[in-house]
Amino acid sequence: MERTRRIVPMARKDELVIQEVSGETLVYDLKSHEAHCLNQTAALVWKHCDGRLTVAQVMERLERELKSPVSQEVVWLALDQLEKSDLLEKGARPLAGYAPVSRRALIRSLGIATAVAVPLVTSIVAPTAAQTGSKCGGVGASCGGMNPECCKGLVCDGSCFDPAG
Amino acid sequence: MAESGSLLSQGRLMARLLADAWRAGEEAPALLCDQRELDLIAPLLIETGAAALAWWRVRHCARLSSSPAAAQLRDAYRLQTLRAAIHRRNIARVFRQLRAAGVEPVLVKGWAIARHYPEQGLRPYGDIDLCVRPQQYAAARAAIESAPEELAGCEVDLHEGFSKFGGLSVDELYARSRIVPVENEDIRVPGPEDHFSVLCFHLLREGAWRPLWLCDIAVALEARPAGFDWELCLGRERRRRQSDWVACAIALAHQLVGARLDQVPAAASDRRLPAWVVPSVLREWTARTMYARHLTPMEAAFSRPLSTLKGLRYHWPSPIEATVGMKGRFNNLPRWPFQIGTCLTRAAAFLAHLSRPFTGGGPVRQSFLQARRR
Repeated sequence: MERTRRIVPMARKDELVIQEVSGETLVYDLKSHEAHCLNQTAALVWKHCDGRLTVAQVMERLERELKSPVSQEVVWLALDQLEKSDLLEKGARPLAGYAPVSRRALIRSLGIATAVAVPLVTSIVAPTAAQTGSKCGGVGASCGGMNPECCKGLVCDGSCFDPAG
Repeated sequence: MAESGSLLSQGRLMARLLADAWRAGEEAPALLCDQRELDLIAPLLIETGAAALAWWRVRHCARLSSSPAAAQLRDAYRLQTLRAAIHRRNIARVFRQLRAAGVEPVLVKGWAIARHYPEQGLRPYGDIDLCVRPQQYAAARAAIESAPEELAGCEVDLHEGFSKFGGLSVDELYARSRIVPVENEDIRVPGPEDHFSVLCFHLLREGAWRPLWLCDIAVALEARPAGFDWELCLGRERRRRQSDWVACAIALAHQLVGARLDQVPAAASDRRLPAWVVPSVLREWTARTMYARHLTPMEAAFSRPLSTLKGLRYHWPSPIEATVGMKGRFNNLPRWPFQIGTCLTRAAAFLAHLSRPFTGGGPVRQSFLQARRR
C-alpha cells in the first residue's frame, strides 16, 4: 500500500489527437495509428493523471466530479486500461500488477447498479463490410457454385481475391 | 433482372435511411427502417462512406441503435471524428507550405463541404483536393514534393485550375472565393455558388456512386447563405447544359435524400428527371461498379493484365457519367450512344497515354502526392 501511495500516474499528451463527443473521449495515437474510446469515468481518471496526484487523490477528484463514492479499484482499473492503450507516460514504476481486478470482477463487486461508472477504454477499429454480417465472400473465401458471391470489389477465381492486391 | 431489382430495393433502403440524416434528431422525420434492413445495407453504407451519417440517423432509434450493425456505424462515426481533426491540421499544414512557396490554393470538396454538417465527423475524409492557378501548378507540385517530412501523412490531390470541376473561370472563382479559419490558418474555399456547382458537377461526372455526395449537395443547398446568387449558380456564367446538370443534381438530392427546396428558384426546383436517372443512381450505390473500377485501373493493364481484363466490365460507364462525359443532356433519349461514345473517348485517351515516350522515373511518392494534370 505504501508503494502504491507514491505512484503518480501521468497522462501521455504528445502525438495524440483528442476529441470529445457525446460524453465520450476519442483519442487517436499518431504514433501507433490506433484509436481509442474512453468512457466518462476513464476519461476523468485520465484527465487527472497530471504527474502530481496520487491514485488516492485521483479517486477523491473522481468522487467530487461524479458526486458519488468511487472505489480505488475503479481508478486502478482505469489506469490499467490506459496503460495498456499506451495513454500514460511510461514512468520508472510500471502500473502493472497494481490492478488485480478485472472489469467483470469489478462490476460484480460493485453491483450492476454502478456498472455505468466502471471505466472502459476500447479500441476503435475501422469497420469493414465483412464485419457487419455480410453474406458475400471475403478475400480467400470459396466462391462459385453453391458458395456465396464475392464481396464487391473482389473477383472470383475459385476463391475471392482482391484484383488490386 | 431479379438481381437488378434487388439492387434497386437496397438502393431505395439506403436512400430512406440517409434521407434527412444530416439534420439534428428532432428535425428529422421518423425512421422507417427495421433491423433486418439495416443489417442488409450496413456493408454498403460502410463501403460508400455513409456509415457515420447513417449512425447519426439511427442513434436516436432505440430498436436499431444497440444492434451490432449500428455499433459498426458508430465506430465509423468515432473514427471519422478523429480523422476530421487530423484532416484539419493537415489542411493547415499544406496551405502553409504552399503559401511559403508563393502559391495560393483553393480547397474544394472534402472539408470545404464537411464544415457545413452539424459535426465534421459525419463525413469521411480522403485526400485534400486543391486547385491552383495553372501558372502556379508546377510551383505547387514542387513545394509539396520538396517537403515530405513537413507534409507527412497529407494526401494531396492537386488540380490545375478548375477544368475537372466544370471548367469555371479561374480568375473569377478566385475573386469570389472566401477565407475560412482552420487551425490558425486562413483556408481559401470557393464562394458558395461556385462550390455548389463544383459539387453537382463532381457528383454527376462520377456517376453519383456515393450517396454521401448527394447528402453533400443537400447540405450545401440548405446551408447556402442569404443572398445566394442563383443566377450566378445556374445561368449567368454557365453554359445552358451545365445549368441543367446543376438542376438535375438538385432534383436528385431532393428525391433521394430529402433536400429541402425552400426558396430555390423554379429553374432549379422544377426540373423533372428522366425515368432512367434515379434507378441508375440507386444501382450505382449498390452494384458499386465505380468502386470496383478504382480497384482495377487501366493503368495497371501491363503490371496486372489478367485482373485488368477481368475488371474491364467495371469500366462500362454508367448512364449518368456517360451523359456528362459526352456533355449530353439529361433527357429521355437512350443512353447507350453516350456510353459507347465515352468508352471510345477513354480508349483513345488510353492509347494516347501508351504512345507517349517513357521518360523514366515516374511520379515521385505517388501515394503522397496524387498530382494530376488536366
